[in-house]
Amino acid sequence: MQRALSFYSGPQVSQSWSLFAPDPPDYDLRVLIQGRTRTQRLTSWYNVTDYFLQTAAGNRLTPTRALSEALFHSTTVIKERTLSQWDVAMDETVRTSTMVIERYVPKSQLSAIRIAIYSSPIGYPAATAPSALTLVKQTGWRPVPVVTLTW
Amino acid sequence: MVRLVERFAFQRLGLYQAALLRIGLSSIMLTQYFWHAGVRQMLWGPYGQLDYSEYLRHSYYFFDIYRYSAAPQYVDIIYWGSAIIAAMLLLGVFPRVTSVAFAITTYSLFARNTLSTDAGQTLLVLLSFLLCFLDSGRVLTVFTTRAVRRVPAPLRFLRNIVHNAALFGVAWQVCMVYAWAAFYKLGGSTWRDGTALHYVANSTHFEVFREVPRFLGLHPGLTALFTYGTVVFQSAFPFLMWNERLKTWLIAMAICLHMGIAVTMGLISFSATMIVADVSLLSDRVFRQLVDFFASAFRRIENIPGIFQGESTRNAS
Repeated sequence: MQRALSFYSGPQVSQSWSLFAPDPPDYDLRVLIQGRTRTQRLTSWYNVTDYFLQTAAGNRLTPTRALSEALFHSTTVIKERTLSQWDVAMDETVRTSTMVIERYVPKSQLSAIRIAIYSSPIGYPAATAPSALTLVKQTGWRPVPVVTLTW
Repeated sequence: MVRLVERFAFQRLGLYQAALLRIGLSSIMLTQYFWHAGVRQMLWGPYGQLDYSEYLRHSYYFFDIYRYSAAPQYVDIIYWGSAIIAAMLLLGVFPRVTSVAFAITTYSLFARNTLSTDAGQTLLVLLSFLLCFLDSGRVLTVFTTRAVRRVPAPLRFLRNIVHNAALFGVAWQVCMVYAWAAFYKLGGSTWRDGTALHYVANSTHFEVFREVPRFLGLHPGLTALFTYGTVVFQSAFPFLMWNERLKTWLIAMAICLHMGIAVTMGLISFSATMIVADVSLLSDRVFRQLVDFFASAFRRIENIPGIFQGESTRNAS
């Protein structure tokens, strides 16, 4: 009964229509990923967010837009420290980032990955925003998760 | 009051609205299935964006059908099965059955990866549940419905009431979206000082055309106008929607607003769902006018020499 009643407050059908409210985010978030190879060499940092933005700029109707939507929501959850969705958001951010690094470095060469999330402010007017990036979260080294790679 | 109760119990209101809701929601989902076919395993597969075990921890309902197997092939079967159900609903094949299956498959798909969804998909799930109770297969179907069976009067009344209540539920749900959106916005300082849309336009995630933030940056007055306009519109909609004369204009404005959002922010499925929800609120009178308009337009096209006339002459000879 409790489950049935909680249906309307669950994450999928909740009635909290806070569309850009109370305020739209006044920051942009960037996710970067770095890999460590089996020979203990560190790869460069790959910008996951920019990868999706560039894909979308090349094709406005790209289906990867849904993947970047999940990345956008996940990183916002992490930045805003929404505890109820924290685990899911971390999992999605790490796995989505792995999908991107595996485009550049073959999975067979990677032994571990770590991610870093940076935020940059959106100023009003736009030109007044300081260009400095603030580190929101950096994970430790993690084993490379198994992810599907088809697009 | 008595007339209102009589109408509610003795006739099914808004059959065209219900049919358009069926067509609209199923078209959006069918488009989703084909659009995301290439990335379906990444979005909803066991080795996709959300790990299967992590998903199971947040999946509670037996009708959450993606939870029953961790095999990628299972996801494929459910995915393409769902697309077939959406196509059947679109055509109006057994709408009573397919609408229930559609609600379950739609809910399950979005519940598989909650963070990839937007508010439009949440609304789509809610409306698809209401669609199960609507008599949406009476009009605008490809297959003509069978002859009407004699149904005992009490059962007929009950079915009328369920249909009409669901139709009212759709209107109520759409009003809830606008009312809550406005309510939350009133608590935000950027919506009060007229700069909120500046932040939305300058967010790289919502940037489709680089010219939009540049243009708004040059015209802060326009940014304030759109910001306040959005709040005023969303606050007014749930109240003015019940006025027959204003409703049509409000819905026309809502359609323009959401088309603008689709083009300038790239939120296509959100906008499409809102437009379908808005259109389903139009009154019977407007629907009849629209049907008459399209019928006469079609007749005018028919009369243009060389379009249909040649065809009919050939057939006659």
